[in-house]
Amino acid sequence: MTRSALLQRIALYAFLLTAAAIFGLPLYVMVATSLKSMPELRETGIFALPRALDPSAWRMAWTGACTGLTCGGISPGFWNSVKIVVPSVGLTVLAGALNGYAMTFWKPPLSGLLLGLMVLGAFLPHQIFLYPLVQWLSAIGIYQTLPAIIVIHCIFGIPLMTLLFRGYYSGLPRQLFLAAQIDGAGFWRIFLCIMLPLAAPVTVVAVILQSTAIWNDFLLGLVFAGRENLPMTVQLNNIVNTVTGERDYTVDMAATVLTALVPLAIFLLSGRWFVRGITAGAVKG
Amino acid sequence: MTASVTLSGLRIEYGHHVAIDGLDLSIREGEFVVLLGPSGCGKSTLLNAIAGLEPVAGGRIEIGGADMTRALPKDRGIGMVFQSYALYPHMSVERNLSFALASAGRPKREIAQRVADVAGMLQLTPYLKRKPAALSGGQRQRVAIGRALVREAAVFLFDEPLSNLDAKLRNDLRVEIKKLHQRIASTMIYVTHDQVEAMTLGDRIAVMKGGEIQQFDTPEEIYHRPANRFVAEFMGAPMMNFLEGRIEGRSFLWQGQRLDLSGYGFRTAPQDGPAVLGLRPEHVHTTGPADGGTALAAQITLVEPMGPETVLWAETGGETLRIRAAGDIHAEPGQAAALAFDMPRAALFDAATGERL
Repeated sequence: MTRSALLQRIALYAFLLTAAAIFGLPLYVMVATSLKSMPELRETGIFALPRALDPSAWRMAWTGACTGLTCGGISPGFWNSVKIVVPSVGLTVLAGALNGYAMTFWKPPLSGLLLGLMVLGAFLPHQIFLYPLVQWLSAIGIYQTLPAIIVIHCIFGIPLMTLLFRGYYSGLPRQLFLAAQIDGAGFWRIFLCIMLPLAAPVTVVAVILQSTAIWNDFLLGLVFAGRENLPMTVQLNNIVNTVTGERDYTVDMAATVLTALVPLAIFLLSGRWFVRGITAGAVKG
Repeated sequence: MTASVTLSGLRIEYGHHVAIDGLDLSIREGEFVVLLGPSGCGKSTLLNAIAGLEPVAGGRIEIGGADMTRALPKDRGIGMVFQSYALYPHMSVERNLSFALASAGRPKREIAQRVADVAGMLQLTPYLKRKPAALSGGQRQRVAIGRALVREAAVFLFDEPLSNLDAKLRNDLRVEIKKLHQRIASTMIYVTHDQVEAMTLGDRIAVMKGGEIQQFDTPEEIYHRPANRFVAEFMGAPMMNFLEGRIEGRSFLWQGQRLDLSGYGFRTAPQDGPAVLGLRPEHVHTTGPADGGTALAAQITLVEPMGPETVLWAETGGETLRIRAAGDIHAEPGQAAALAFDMPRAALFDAATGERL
């Protein structure tokens, strides 16, 4: 290896290690703190390794911490989030795939205008719509219910999902669609037997994007889900901001790690698929 | 299965742009017709209209005598082979072949039987379980043809099926397609921009330009008696030589030479005036006139040995002529040559309209 190549290598590793530290250190602090007791934390500071692995903060965060008036831990929030995320992701991804397919291959009238509206819908800040949506959901009588928050996530998720699938389908050869028509397949058969299976890579990307975004949502959950269905993020906030007596950082950290666990797991498990899906421009026959 | 195809007054529009206006074409049962032309001449548009993949703005499409102008693609009794093969990448060869029959809701036993028959016919049986990605280009093209065969189509439509293949494979598959046509006798309509494919495959060739058919005739007629200057230029490599001169009586005046037209078959009685003489490279001889007439003095500027023949470029009177000579000719650039033209086999075109005289 020449001198300059060696220097390049050293610089590259220095950069990568710094970047890893920037992202890794907060995670380390959180996990380490959550495994300590408050007296230990006060004595040793935040960067020290825990002396013994003490799971009591985790147990407290999951089942005992106070979120507002009730003290049942963050676990109800976890299940609420699951109930919100699973149907919302399923519906938005499916609708996005169907929309993207229809707009790419069947080119309905006004599809150009629809596309423009979708782009607008995907990138306008959601806050603009809060008040009108509250009014509208109240008028139809589902404000602050589970269906309400699912409908809201669908409304905000479908434009981006449609654009994602449309972009992917535009990269597929149109002759595939024509061949299927010659073979006698109609709108649904072409979608279900050909276009949806071919979109597997982009579907993985879509599921990851949507489940992470909806899991991490705070504002919409707070406004639309109602007291019974508050997602995990809102309950985490309640735990962290509920102060009765001493603030227990170990429980706060444990609750935060628990809340972040789902998106983290999704990325760790599907990172390979994610990269593959984003780079899979063309599926060659 | 075979059927005739008749297009009458066909009109195809893209928004305000008229791609094809009032086109008539009549294809006989079992005929192999090639649609030939440069890119953008409307040949693929025309094929897609026959397939029902392109909406028709006016006119009529009849397949096997039945009006199919507005019929769905699947109801037209056609099979189509695309340039990109358009195989379903996630399905095995078997499922690619059976997809159309399954869409039509045919019984499983019949589907299995027909897929097996077609696979045997195209030597695809060992590959039935493979995905298209695991096949060679030639095998993929055979699957694409098989997909049309399985449907027992009366009319096969080919959209530049060989242009993605390398030269050797292209020749092999061209022969296979010709054999296939001899065996199943279905009507075939074949779009290409390759004149060799057109000449070798077609019973008749429709040469197209700007959405219009310039000439629709047998390969021999198209090559030897082109209907206009465009057809003459498009067909044949090296290209035909064009000499601009005048007709006077029974002679063509060019560069002070008086070329005899008495052996030329005029369509109508010739009139004196400017005209263009078209000469195929093989109708210019370097050996001097056989009948003792006057020879044209020329100088060879370029020699291109091709193996079976040699293409010479020769200059005379400020014009460069392409000449097809024997493969074993010994010629050097700078060498003088005595040229003679095979006038009865020449083509004369109107100087203004380019139409054959």
